[in-house]
Amino acid sequence: MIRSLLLVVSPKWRSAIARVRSEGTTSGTRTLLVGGVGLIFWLVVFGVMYRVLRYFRGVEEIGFLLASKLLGLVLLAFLSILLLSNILTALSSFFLAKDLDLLVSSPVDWLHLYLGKLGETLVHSSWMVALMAVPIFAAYGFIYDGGIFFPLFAVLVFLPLLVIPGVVGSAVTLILVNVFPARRTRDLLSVIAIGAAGVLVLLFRLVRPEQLARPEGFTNLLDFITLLRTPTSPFLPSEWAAGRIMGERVDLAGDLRSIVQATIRLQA
Amino acid sequence: MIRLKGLTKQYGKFVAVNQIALHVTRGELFGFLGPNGAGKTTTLRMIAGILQPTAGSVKIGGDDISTAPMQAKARLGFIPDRPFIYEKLTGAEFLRFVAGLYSQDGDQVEHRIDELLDLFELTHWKNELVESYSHGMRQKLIISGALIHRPECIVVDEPMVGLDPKGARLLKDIFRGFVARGGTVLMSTHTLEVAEAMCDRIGIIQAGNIVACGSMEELRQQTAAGDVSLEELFLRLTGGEAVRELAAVLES
Repeated sequence: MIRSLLLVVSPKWRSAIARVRSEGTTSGTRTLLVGGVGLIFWLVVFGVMYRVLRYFRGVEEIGFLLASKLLGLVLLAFLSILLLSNILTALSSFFLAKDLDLLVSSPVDWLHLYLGKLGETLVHSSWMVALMAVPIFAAYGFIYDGGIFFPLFAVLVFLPLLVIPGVVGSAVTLILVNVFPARRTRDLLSVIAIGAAGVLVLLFRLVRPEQLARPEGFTNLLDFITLLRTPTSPFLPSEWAAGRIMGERVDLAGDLRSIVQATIRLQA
Repeated sequence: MIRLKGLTKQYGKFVAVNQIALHVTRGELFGFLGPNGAGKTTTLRMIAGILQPTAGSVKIGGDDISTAPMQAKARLGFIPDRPFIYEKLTGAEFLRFVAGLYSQDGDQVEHRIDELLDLFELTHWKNELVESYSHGMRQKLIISGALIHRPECIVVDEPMVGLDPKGARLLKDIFRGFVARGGTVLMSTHTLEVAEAMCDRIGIIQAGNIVACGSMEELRQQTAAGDVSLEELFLRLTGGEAVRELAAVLES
């Protein structure tokens, strides 16, 4: 299975290698320039995050909670971007790709074809977010003494955060294309864009970031700390990842219990 | 070798292909003709397993493309009307990839690649990226890709597009040789002279229905047209005469 899967995706990575080679030989200056700009961007993001987290570390009692909440917000933003990006990319790789005729008319197992295209979708839609996450995680690792294995741990935690929206996004696209005729792709994209905007607003409202900026709005510090401790939503993969990175245990059962209790209290 | 039974494709209420029944036997070169939008490409794409029929069945060498797709597709070499090649692969890499899709690798494949590239005079371009190939060279590479796994039948949509006269002649010879060795070719084309010269039988499709099918002689009998060319027959069967009359009126 692995061999067949690798074969399906092989033209993509071979093409990528050929592209890098030709870029390297034809325009070394351009490669150097792009690399340099990327490095400067990384350093700026790292610098900002480092300063913010160092400030948080100095705040007694709630500093750690603020850093956790900030990571949750960042990862939630990543999750939203990844979801939208995967929906759009899946449309291209599963339905509009030019190599589909060649692959589908060959005796290739459907599952391998699907997994190959899913992998392609994941890489195309996630590489930028993954690069963006590097300086952020690096800053967290430095400030909170992540230790020598922190990079490996961060990769392991971050990987599912890339895969989950990839799988969900491509599933959404597959469903939408079955509802709309493939020829009406433009209509489909409009629906996706409106839906994505709605989801973004919903997610943003779930986080309620304005409350964090107004601690004086809380009757006491305990309320503020309670808000910081409360997960945005226990069902969001970004919360699981943020919890793991900050060394918290993921307690889905406990979270479910607290949601049920809160609902009962509200009804009472 | 290729057997279509009640093959139908509907897009909503529009019937693109309507209850087509066709049997292309082993060792036969079958030409599929029809005006634009008649349903040729849709039919060929259903035979290749790219489109799922709304109704009916496609059997290749006895294997149903819907129920035994792997076996049916392994027998087939498909050349679409708008073929795709990965621009950043070399000719040899592309052929190696296509062979891999048919579970073939090793020395045999390398030998076959050299053989096909030599046949199509692409040996010097073997290790060059496809992006540097001309349109005709790409077409030759696509045809090599369809032949790499030694298929039992070839389904080809507009094979002569982009080929120079030498390449077109070579392709004709290859197809005739392939058929002579017991292979089957189902070819869609707009070039009526090519169809008349090459095909053992011709099927004419109009608005999703096969309106005539047989050898040139049988087609003439079916239309009671006498000793006329395929172009004449084609125009009579597909309503092109009205267009010609209109053109004559405009000219006068």
